[in-house]
Amino acid sequence: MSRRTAAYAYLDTRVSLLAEQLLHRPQRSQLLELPYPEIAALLRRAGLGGLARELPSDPARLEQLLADTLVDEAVILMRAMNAAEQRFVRHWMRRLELINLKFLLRTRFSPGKQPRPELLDLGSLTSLPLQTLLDTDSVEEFLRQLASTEYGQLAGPARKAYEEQRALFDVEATLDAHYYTQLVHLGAKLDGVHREQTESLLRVWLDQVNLMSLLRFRLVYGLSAPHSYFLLAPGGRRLPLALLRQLAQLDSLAEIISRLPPDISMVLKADAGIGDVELQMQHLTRVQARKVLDQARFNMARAFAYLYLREQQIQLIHTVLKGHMLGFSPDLIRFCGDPLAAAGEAG
Amino acid sequence: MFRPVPMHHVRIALLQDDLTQAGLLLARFGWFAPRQESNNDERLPDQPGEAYRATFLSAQSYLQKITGFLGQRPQPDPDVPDQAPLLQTLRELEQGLRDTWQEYSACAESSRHYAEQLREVQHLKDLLDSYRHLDMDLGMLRRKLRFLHLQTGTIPQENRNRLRQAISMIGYSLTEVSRREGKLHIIIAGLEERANKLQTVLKAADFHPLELPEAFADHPDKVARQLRKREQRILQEQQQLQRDIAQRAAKESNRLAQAAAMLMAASGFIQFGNALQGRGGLARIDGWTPEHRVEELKKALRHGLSGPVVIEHRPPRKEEKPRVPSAMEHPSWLQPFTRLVKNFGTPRYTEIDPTWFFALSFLAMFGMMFGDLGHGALIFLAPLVLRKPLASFAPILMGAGLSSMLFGLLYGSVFGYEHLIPALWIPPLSDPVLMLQVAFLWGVGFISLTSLLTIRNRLAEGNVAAALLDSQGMAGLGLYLGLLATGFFWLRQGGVPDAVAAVPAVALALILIYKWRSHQAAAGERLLVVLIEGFETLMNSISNTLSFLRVAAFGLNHVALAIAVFALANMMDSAGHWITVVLGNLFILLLEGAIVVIQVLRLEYYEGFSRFFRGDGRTFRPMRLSLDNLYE
Repeated sequence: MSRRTAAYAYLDTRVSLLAEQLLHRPQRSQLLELPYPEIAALLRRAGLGGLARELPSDPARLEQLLADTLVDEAVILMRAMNAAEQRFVRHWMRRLELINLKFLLRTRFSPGKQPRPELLDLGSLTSLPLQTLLDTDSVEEFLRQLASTEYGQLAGPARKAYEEQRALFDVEATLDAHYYTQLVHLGAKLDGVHREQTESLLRVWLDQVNLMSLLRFRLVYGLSAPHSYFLLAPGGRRLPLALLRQLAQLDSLAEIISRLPPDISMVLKADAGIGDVELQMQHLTRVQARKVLDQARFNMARAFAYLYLREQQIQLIHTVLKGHMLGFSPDLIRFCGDPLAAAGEAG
Repeated sequence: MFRPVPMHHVRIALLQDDLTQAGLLLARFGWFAPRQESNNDERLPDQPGEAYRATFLSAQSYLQKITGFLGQRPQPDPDVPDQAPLLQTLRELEQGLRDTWQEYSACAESSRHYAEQLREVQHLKDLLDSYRHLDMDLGMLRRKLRFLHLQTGTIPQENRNRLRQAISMIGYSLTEVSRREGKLHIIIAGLEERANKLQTVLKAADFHPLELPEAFADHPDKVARQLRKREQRILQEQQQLQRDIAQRAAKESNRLAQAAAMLMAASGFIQFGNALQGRGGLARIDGWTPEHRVEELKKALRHGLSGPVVIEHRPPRKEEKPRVPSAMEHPSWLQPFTRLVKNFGTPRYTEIDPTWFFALSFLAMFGMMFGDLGHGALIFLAPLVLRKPLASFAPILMGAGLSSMLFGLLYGSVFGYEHLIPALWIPPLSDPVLMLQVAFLWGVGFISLTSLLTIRNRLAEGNVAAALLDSQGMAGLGLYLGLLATGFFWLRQGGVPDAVAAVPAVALALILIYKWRSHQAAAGERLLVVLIEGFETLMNSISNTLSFLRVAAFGLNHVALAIAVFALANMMDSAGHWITVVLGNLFILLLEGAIVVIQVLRLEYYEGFSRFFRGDGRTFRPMRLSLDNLYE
């Protein structure tokens, strides 16, 4: 038994056990089609037995329960990892914390007294002192407190935006860009084969992030080409920075699609919209994650792939359950949660 | 003494108007722990005093911020008010603290502003260094040109490459002038007609334009002098602000102290937590008080409350016992041992309090492993000489020192010398086998005693089956002693009487049956678990006892180390000899002493506590008037 096999046997087993919770395509379709009382078995299969018995009292509670599930599973997997791998996964999970931080920034910067925001509790993965930030009386005090956190580098740009009475768009985009750069940096610190496999998925995911950001910045928000390019994450696998720089200088979706690599552009119809591009990119990322999960062995990339796929499915389950809680019609629930099917994905 | 203090469940019914005062009285009383879990009594659906609680927490938060900013806690008046503040008074206090904090917050902002200005001046000075070699008018860089757009400024270092690539898309170039503390000073140049596309990307890149002051329109040396003046002015203003803050803090220290005292008086009510329920004008508080303090509690509430109060109390019911908090009352010299016990856990209310057992066995084992009259005397005297740093461990050190001295007399050992005094028992190295036999018997006694304690605890929990049949219960003890007896007869007589051999066999069978019945799973998994746990029980019985051989091993080791020191010392001349003896003894005292403590704790925790002490009890946390609570 090689050293790597021995060191990762436990993690591999853990991932395999957890991966049993991932729903397959027909099950995901059933989840979207069936009324709430009939999806109990699917929820139990997805490891969410508590939600099969009873729905929480409000959507925020539901969101917290699902976030707890994700965090708990990440923590379980992290226990079997070395320090560099733990740092990578911890940072990956911090995307949930970015939601909290953006929410806090928007609440604090909005004029007038805002209601106390419903923040996600990330348990042992929390790094932001949420209570301290919530207890602040003014934007200035909030920024002083923020400066002493792990997100301290944001305090300067945020203060500038506040003083110039600008929207927080740049601050949030900078937060995202910094997050992606740090994630790539942590990915590069993994050992040999773990790094290769993890980066293979990470870069595909970054393709999705970058292309969607670029389309939104250029075509929806109307940012200039240099501005849009500056805010992108590090380059991905199919879309390196040089190609993104060329794409940023184009002015229409059709032109951009025509310059995309063939495996992305060929499946898109002539009248494809930004939503269609997003579905195709998500599909490519999921296919890569599935590939890593099924083919890699004794490798931390499997854990990363599982966490990615699990998060996707938790989002789907969240959409469906929230739809039931709010009394949405079956058609509307299907419409909100159907992108998986719409992409025509198999497996 | 050997059990947590007997508790009574106390139910206090009173008027809601008296709640805050009751909170103050109970916190001052110091022996009432509110029930932690919620009761969900439908007859009492209200949680009284929400506004009071919210106001208190807000005021507390402001007080914490103020003291955090000032870096010092106010000393409250020694006498907390006799009356808890009313809601209106608390609101006024909260408003006052809020106003004070807003003033201090403005000071904090000014302080930050000055620090930023100083950084900016420092940055300009550093920047100027980059231009110092230029013998030119720096104003040239600020002049507006017709076709060329020039801009100087700073960006975070990590944004350099991306910004350079981004602005190259509109024909701009980026030139690095200098770098310092993660900031790059850059000059951006391009066509004026494309400048409008530049600004948004510069903002996104956290570009800080460098507005060179008018004075920068001069030679670098002159600019440097002006910057020094500016720095002086900012420093003076900064110092003035600090003086103002200090004066203000001194002036307001009394007011803050009164506020802290007032909040302490209100803090009792906040400590009720889930224990408080109410309806209409009535309220009920549930909690726990040591039995022998109940009358005192009644007296305090009846004398201190203006309205009627009904106090009912009773011993805990059987089903409540897992939730009853455990209070351990011990003489002050035993407190450090209690802390070591709590390191492992808090005993359940029904469990034996292991503090006495721990203290006595700890001291005995330490003495046996580190028996030396001289070393023991030094350990005994250490807390008397170094009072402050060792105050909290004094009883442990003095006890361990006495025990070490006692065994030193038994071994005839003084600072490693084996011939200065006669051994009352034996020098360890003269008969190592006897030492190991004694340690073995000590281990047998220790494990047997812990097994008896386990049986007693299980019986107290009402778990008779586990007490009799589990591997830690009577069957486990039978297996353990049966195996020992079997081994004894085998070694001494070459054969084992049937009756003796039957004891461990029957005991093991009982344990396996018990494990089979108590484990719920598929038959195959059940069988596997039972076999593995049965094997583990057998192995533990042997290995745990052998673990105690270290008690003798360290006693021998102590002498061996001393011999090594003397061998080294004998190679030296007179001065070198005594220096080696002193340093060697210090080495033994500190290093071996520390290792022995760790080994004894290991034996206590692993071989002792893990058998009979669950340690998952609830600590008795009575309401208190504590300044520390205000700053938690």
